[in-house]
Amino acid sequence: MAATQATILSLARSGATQRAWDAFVAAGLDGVDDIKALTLKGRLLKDRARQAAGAERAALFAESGAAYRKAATLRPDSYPLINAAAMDLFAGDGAAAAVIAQDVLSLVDGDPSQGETPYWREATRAEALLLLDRLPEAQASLTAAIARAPQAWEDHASTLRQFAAILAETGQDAKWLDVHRPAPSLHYSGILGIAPDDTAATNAINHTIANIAPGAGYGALAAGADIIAAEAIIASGAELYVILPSAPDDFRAKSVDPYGTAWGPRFDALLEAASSLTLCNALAETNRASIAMADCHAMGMAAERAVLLESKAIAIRMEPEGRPALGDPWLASARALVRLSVDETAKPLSVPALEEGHMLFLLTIAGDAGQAEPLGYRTLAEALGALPASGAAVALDCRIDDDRNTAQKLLHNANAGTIVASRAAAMALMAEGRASRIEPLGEIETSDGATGVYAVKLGAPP
Amino acid sequence: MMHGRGQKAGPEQVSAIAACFGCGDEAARLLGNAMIERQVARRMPLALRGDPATMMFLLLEGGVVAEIFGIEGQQAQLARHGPGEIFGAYPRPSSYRADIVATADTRLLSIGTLELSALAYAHADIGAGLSRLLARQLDLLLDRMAARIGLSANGRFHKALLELADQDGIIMPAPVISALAVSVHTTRETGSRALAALLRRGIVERYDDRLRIVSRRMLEELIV
Repeated sequence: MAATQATILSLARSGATQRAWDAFVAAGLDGVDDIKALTLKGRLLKDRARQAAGAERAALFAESGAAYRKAATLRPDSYPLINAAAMDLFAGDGAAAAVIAQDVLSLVDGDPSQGETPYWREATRAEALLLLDRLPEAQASLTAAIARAPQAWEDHASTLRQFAAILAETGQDAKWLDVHRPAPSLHYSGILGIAPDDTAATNAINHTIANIAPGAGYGALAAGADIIAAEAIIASGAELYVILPSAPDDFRAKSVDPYGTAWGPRFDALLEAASSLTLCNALAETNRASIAMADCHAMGMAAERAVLLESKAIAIRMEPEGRPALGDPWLASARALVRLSVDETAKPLSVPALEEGHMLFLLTIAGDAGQAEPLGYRTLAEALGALPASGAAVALDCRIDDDRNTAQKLLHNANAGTIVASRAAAMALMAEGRASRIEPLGEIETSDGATGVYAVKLGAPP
Repeated sequence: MMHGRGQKAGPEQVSAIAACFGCGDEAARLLGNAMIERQVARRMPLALRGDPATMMFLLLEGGVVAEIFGIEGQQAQLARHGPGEIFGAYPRPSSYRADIVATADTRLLSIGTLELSALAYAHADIGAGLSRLLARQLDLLLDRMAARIGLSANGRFHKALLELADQDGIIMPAPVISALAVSVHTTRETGSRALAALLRRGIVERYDDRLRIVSRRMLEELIV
């Protein structure tokens, strides 16, 4: 059965570049003169070009440009046309790129309906100016584009990526783009044992977070450093994303209330003020493993936002001087880490010790020898160390129970040579900086409810 | 167990009924008049195995699982229901074959099995809506069994917006977001956040009486 364009796009998103192209050809879409088919063709050829080298790379970029150009001849449209111009530049034909970029300028300036959204209309203009080597005008145009939709961060990020690629291709400095990057994402965590009225710790945390000036903060809301940091994030005007290991009432009973009655109302107020609340597992108990998993998830979300928005991710650790940071996933990522020394000023009385639990990374592999049973690893590094050299379909899950069904279900959706991961595993990969890209593919039903499924490209983040 | 005596369905619930059943306002009002809103706290049972099953439930918020326990206490999950799904006894009363337990604080609309059966028999719009809802749930169940990747909650919401729009991209009247969200099996928060993201990116514009899809291509790209 011929694949649909949606299926082919999904294959491309999963990283199965060659397979997506083969499906496109097998579906008879290669010779179809239709705008959607031609723009999909342009995208697939661009993906292949990025994986190729030398003359083949240039040829594929040129073919991609031709497909986009043809789409624009069927209906004048700045979206395929600006892509055609950029592809020609990446193919090494700057002169052809400039000719098309001039056409884009004429189209955008002459037709107010061009550009899809107010942001893209001006950003497309900016890209055309950049391709025409009119840098000051391109810079002014990009500033104007961002002013039109100051919160369209995902779109700004696409433009920043594209501009960086064009500037690299033409050997120009891309430093000036930094001014347009959104404020950093912040992951916060710290000790419980801070007295609710400890002004020294509160002032130090407030000051440090104000200096970082995050755009968004990610973490839990345990008594002490977490709650103080979350309050500082809200006070700084940033968005707060709360990630808890279990349902709020269970978490509050074990990690907030035992440390003094003053924390509970502050916990409730922060939950109310948060932009979102993520429960790693609403059915899980608050134990050491579920807390570690939620912490890892929060780090992953901070890193995910940074990658998605072409920004930076920073972590803050609020602990007594000299405390060893054992097993902190952030350390593996080599991202910025701020250590703030705070003293323990409160000792909880008769707080029951949390259960240990265990966090496992479950790896399932299907290769020439068939499908292996999921194997559990205590660390992500160990799980990735067990990956086959290449060619196999791989699924990765991260859990605090022994359920191996999700890892098996995920494998059904992995193609040869690709890795798919559950949301929890994808966040762990992002937290440790072991994935350069995670691409959402949809969601799958598991015993805990639905989980997002991601195609993973391993490697250091950009 | 269920909290309180329950309340009659209000306008918001009637919008959710219309969106889930895919029926007109008149049919949704008829159903709404016969439905009572219930709440079940997280981890509390809605029903126990062997209890008489005399109701159908439309889940608005939260979730439930149907679970059974073997002789040695081993637990098995038979089914899981989320927002926009129906469960219970139909077309005749029966008994619960599993414990039904809330996985989160849960809000549902309940209707007597025989009453729903009679409404479906008397009103084609309700009967058609019910069959559509049951067929969609069967698809969902088969997808779950096949371990097939489906659209994300955001993806389903984006698709629903696209399907509501006319050829000029206009959705009029503007949809009730909580109702649209529940009809695609997600929460009001997820629906509100998804729409807010579309508005801030300029992909959709909001007016007093309608929404306008500014870029159909960009919205299509977000159906993942």
